Amino acid sequence: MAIHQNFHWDRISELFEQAIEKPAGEWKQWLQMECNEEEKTAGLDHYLLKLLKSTPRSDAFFESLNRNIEDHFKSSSEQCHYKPGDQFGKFRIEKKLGDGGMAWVYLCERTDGQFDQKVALKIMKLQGKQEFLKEKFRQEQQILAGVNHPNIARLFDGGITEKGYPFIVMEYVEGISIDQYCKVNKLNIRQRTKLFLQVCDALQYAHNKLIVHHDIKPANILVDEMGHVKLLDFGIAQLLFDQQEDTQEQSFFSGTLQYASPEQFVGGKPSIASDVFKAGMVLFYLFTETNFNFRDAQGLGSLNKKLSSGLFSHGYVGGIRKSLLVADLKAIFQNSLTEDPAQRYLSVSAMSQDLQNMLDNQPVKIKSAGWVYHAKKFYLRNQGKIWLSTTLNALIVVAMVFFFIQYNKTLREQKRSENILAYVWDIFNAVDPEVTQGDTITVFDLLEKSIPRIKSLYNEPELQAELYHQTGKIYTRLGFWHKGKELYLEALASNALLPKNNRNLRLKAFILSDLAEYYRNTTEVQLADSVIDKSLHIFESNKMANHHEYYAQSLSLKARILTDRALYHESIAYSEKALTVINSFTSLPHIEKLRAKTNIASAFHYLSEYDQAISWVLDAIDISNDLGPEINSTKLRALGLYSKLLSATGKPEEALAIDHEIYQIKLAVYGENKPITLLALSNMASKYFRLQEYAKSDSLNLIALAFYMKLFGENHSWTATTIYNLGNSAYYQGNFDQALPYLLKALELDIKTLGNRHPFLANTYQTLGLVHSGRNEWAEAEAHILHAIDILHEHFGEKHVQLSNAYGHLANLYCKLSKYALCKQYFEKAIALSDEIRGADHQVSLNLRERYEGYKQILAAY
Amino acid sequence: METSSRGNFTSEELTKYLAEYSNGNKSALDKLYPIVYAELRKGAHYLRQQFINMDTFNTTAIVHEAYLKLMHTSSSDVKSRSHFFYIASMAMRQMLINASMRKRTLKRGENPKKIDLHDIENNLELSETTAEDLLLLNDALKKLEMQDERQAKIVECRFFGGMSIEETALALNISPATVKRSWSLAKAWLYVEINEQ
Repeated sequence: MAIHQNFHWDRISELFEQAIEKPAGEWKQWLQMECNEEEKTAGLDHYLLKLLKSTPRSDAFFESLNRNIEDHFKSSSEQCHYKPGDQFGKFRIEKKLGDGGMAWVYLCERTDGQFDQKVALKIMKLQGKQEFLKEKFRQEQQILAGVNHPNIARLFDGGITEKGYPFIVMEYVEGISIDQYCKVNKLNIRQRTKLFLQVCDALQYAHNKLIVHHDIKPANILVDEMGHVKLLDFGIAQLLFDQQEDTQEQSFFSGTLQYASPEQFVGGKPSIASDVFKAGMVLFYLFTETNFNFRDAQGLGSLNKKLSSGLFSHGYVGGIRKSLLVADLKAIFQNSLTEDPAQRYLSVSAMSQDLQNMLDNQPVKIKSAGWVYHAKKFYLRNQGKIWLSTTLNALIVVAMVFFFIQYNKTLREQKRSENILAYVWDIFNAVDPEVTQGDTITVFDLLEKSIPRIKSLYNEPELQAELYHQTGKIYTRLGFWHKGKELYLEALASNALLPKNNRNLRLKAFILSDLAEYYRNTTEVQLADSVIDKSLHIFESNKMANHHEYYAQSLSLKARILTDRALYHESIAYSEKALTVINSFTSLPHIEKLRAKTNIASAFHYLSEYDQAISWVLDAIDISNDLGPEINSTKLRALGLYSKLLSATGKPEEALAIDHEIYQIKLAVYGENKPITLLALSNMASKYFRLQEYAKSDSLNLIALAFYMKLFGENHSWTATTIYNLGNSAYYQGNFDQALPYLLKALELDIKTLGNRHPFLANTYQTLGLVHSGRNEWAEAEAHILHAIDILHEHFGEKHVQLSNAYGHLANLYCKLSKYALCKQYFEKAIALSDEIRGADHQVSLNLRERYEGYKQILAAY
Repeated sequence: METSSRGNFTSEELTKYLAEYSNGNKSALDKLYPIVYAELRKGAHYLRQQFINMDTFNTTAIVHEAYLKLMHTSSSDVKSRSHFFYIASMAMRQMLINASMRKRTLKRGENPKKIDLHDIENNLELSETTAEDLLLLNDALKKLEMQDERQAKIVECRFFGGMSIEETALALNISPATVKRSWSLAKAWLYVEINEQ
């Protein structure tokens, strides 16, 4: 019989609530004192004591009941149909590793004898709409497979099982979750922070590739016995998240609810900002062993209390004063755990910089001023889009300058500025250089102010080198190539003062590579070549195996330079080497593969080996499709090349169709008056030209020319090409007088930029020859065409399509000059070559024959 | 295309009812409760059909899921959200008790057939001990209701709904400190009560 029914509830309540605040040892005494005689007789004090004493057990009871309910919810899902011993593709299932809410996980061993490999096989508990799922999965998987970072568990393979469940095969990581690891090994603050910094590193890497994790939580961060962090399940959530977007259903929450960011609760999409939030939550957990609940109004106010005493019990915590530490941590948490995404760190690397600074006893970054806030918001809204507006440029750079000016010259501040630059650089990272030209007067002015500042303030060579390099890249990105180059040279000068360790050499190799690219852009090809060689030398002699991507990139740059120098076979060799390097590093689609293949195709194109070229370019286009919807300049280059090849192999309409497509893409992505968009127009112009739509062709070329002249002046290959096109077009329309000045100008410019033996000149000489022909200036005509042939011979020997053209033109010329023996000789040469290269059925071959037939009657006499 | 458990109500209307309920109009509860209840029952449907990483496969998650599903983004007002959660807590309690009753009536050792994959309530296979514990808890809770209704509501929120201290405070219009103290007492009281049986 429950005697407590006699007691007044309020009284029970009152006593309990007061007593519970007191230490357990005092309860009995205190109750004795508090209760009056009547209550004591009735046994109230005993009853209360019973209640108080039961608190640990009652807590346990409720907790365990809660867990049981959880388990029951969990198990009301289906059973998996695989078990140990089963074969799954080329893997054999060894044992079940776990049964999480979203997937069954198995440990598997590779059985095809290739090599020993242990992997984790995750089969998702999700049966979705088959076709949609397959396609989405495939796309995502390609992107994710390109993620290669020591702190991220590799994704090897993925697909759909026969029963329709998506699965992935990933690196097997033996370790425990990060929070357990910290606990078990009793790590202090410094150690925990360092561990967490590995996590940040991984996250930033993926964010740079615009991959969001979606589901960051301690359980997804493992640490192996060597203290090495591995992030699991990267972007997997994204895969399945996207599936929902397609349906009418709106509630589609991906990731773990417990670790959701505030904006996700109101239907927001996961983003880099939400990853930042979740990273903050993990950090919070590592330091306090409680979960941060953003819905609790006190939030970070009670941080002092929350920091668990074990970690923070000393005044100096691993060399950091506790009071400072707490202040710093608070700032870091404020910048990551806020409800408004725009108030957070813009990137994970910003957060890790602050953490690093905290460890080094540096002041942590202050909260942003108003206009930076707006800049961030703007960026967040447009994240992922590959363009940058003037406003954003200006704001970001102002932010940069502001920080430079604000801080004074201590070593610590130098580090911070560098970090800011890196941070700003992250933003520029996605942007294609051709985009921003012409748009950035304000930015330029601001940058100008900051460079002298760097010079005067920062004296450490190491920092200077890095700083100059970064700033140089920013200038280059903005299209100020010359400025960029100056800074690269400064960077190299600073770098030269440093000890020759791997890190500094690596930096040197990167700078040299960028410098080579500059020279290439300004068509100083010889210089570009020698500089890239230096860069490659460093890569090769220092075995920088971890930087495969950069090595491959440099190899590809070398290949392009060789193409510029018309050394096409050597170029192909380098591209093939780049492919080998990249293939040894991943077997999945990768942008460097795209680049290398496009370069090879381009070289074959110049060699007029069209079949080879087409085969390689289609290969390249395939890869570019596998890389996902992101548009980049290499992808567009491949398409452009394909269009040229179609044109060269007698399919002008198809070529034009592709050109239109390219133009539309560029227009959409980059906007109207950008060089890169105009280049598309130029290419279309030449296609129209082939289709004999001269008016269209000319007007497009004139637009392009005006722009190029303004931007590059005349000493640039694009300008020269456009002038040539106009001249060529005028020729075809029979306007020889108009054509001549254009062509002469084009020739002059080409010689200036390419030297006078470059194969491109052959074309110009030929056309000039034709124009002179049209003006009945025979001697000049002959001279020019012979000159063209001479150049072609030098580079290509006997076999090149342009030679065939040249022979044909020469033949015509000789006929007009009544030099019939020569005429016949050259016709035959022209036809033979055309048959060989183009095929006897090609329109041009047929035309040549026809013309020859026409002349034969006259020639019969000879 | 499955029918929405919103019945014939749009989420704007639901928001309205929720607002009314928040303002003290108890009759709005009559409209809301069945909808919320039905939504919770469908929890299993989402848990498998949609991707939710349910390593924490618990009442909080299901309740939040129901909220997202029914209310979309139309109500980010913390207070009315808390009220929603409170309604869901009541519904969750009912659902678990129903499942427990079902278990009790089944013969020992017999496995219940899965009737409807889209119904958490029917699918929930509680163990005997859990079911019994829940029923005992329910009885004790009823007794608590008679002593102190607010106390019992706190239990519903905290235990059945998995609500945080803040949310509970908002839903019931009391201070978080009160919630905290009351929750401790309630647990102790219920535990003692259960063990007296």
